Amino acid sequence: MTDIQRVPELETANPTNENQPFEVRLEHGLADDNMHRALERFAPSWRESRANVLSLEAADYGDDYTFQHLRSQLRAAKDNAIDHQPEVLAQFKAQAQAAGAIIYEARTAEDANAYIYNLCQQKGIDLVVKSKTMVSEETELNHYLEARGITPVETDLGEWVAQLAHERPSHMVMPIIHKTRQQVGSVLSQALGREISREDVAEQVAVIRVEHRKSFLNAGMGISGANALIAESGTVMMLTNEGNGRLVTSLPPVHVVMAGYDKLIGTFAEAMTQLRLLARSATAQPITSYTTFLTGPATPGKEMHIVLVDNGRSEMRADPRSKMPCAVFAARPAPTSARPTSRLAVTPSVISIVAPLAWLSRPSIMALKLMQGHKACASVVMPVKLSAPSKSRSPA
Amino acid sequence: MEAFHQIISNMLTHNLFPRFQQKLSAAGGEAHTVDTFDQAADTIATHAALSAKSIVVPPHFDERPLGAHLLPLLRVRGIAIIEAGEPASVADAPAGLTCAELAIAETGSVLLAENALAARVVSMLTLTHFVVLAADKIVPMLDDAANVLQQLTREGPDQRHYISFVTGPSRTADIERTLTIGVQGPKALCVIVVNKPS
Repeated sequence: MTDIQRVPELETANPTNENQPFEVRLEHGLADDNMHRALERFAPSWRESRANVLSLEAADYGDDYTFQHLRSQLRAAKDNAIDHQPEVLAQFKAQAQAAGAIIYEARTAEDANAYIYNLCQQKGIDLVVKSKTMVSEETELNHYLEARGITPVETDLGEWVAQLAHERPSHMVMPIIHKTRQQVGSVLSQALGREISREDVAEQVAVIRVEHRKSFLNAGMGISGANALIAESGTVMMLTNEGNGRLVTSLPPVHVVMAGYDKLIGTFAEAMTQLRLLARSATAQPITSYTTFLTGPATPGKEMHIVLVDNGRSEMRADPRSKMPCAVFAARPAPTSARPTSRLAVTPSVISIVAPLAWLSRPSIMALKLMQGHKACASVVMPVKLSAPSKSRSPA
Repeated sequence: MEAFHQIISNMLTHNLFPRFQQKLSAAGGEAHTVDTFDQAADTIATHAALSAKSIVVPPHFDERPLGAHLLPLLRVRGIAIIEAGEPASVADAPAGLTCAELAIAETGSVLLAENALAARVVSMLTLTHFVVLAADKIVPMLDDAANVLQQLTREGPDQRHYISFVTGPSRTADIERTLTIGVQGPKALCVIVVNKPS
């Protein structure tokens, strides 16, 4: 998109620009007072909100609803899906295919990207809308498509602002938590070539709604992620708040789901446990506005492709250390041979920077585990002042 | 036996609506309970979103039991009924009406299950989304919904390929964690539960 290409001057000023080495970004991050203020505001208030929402539920529904209980339930379900992955995968594939989905198993990031690009080429698609797909950050799909003349548009609000600013999302749930509204206004104004409010968040959101509506209606392909791949029915479960996910998966004629094998889960009942924890842990909501269950293409003529991404996951699954808690795992870095593309060795000191983010949720710890040894790890790490966690820790 | 079942079901419903309403309100949606379709039509027709006196509905909505009851009552009240067509023609219509398969008290969600795109866009692209359902469709917990999801996704001619739990309007808090309503989807969700649908 020409709009995106119009903001090169931001690139040099941008502290989290992905083209700069991690050490440089770390230095910038430590010197960025805006980001410190944003994160110090966020960390304690988020913790408090989550504690509130969970204690309310426990009061309503009893001990089955404590965070600890739900967490151990989900952990058992996920461990089971990992331990029995061949069977769970076979069931998921059979059910999804019976419902009309086309499944592609990508061994590497390159395989996944190439499959999607070839689909675009075959169908003459040059505009793609995306809803949040963290695994596409891992495979660097946007770069891959852009380099080949295809325009991917992130339609999650935060992800789009990050895309316009040539940044990666700084967090899975809150991609631009490190940005102020003034910075968002400035990114939008430059990208759209007209003045957008730097103060009025409602105006910024309204502008984005109008901009994205055009993309939704014109795109030839929608790419989404998956929060769970439910084996018993071959269903893709996806959570969004903005409503962009349902548009991405409904309006374009071709829908591609990108998901890691780690998203496999056995049953709808287990997926409900995941639901109960996911939004509470992520945004302290009991549930997101939209929870969508897709089982094959919904209408005749519509195509649904599910790209299952390995990219090192099976290697990790075979490694006994993957069953250890995150901190222990991280303190014993894997041999260099297991991390061929790493830009950053995962050492205890790096993990101590990551830790405040990793505490956010069990899924994020899982993700960090999975991303260890991959390029994506260095990109997801956001520089945080090492003293910040102790300063913001609540007295309780 | 049927009558007994109805009594139990009503008792359950009377317990479930307040919780459903409380959870949906917390998510920014509104829930009403009415006894009859007549009252449901009043609630819709007098809503602020109906100032243009028109509402978009899924294709063939009048062939479904809820639509067959409700649409004539809306027409009598001077409301124009527009069947949804191409997505672009539905975008930002002031009001849309669909029915739900289920409501979940635990989370304040309604379960929509539509294969047809034109039916789905009513709940995705209109500004205020009305949902009507019978009171006995409220279930207590997500676990109950899991059973229904199993049935709806079962292979066969009635398989539902596209199911959503909708819980409140579209929202974001991406910018400085400031809650903003109405990002890509509807800016308001209004659920009307009919106690005596027959």
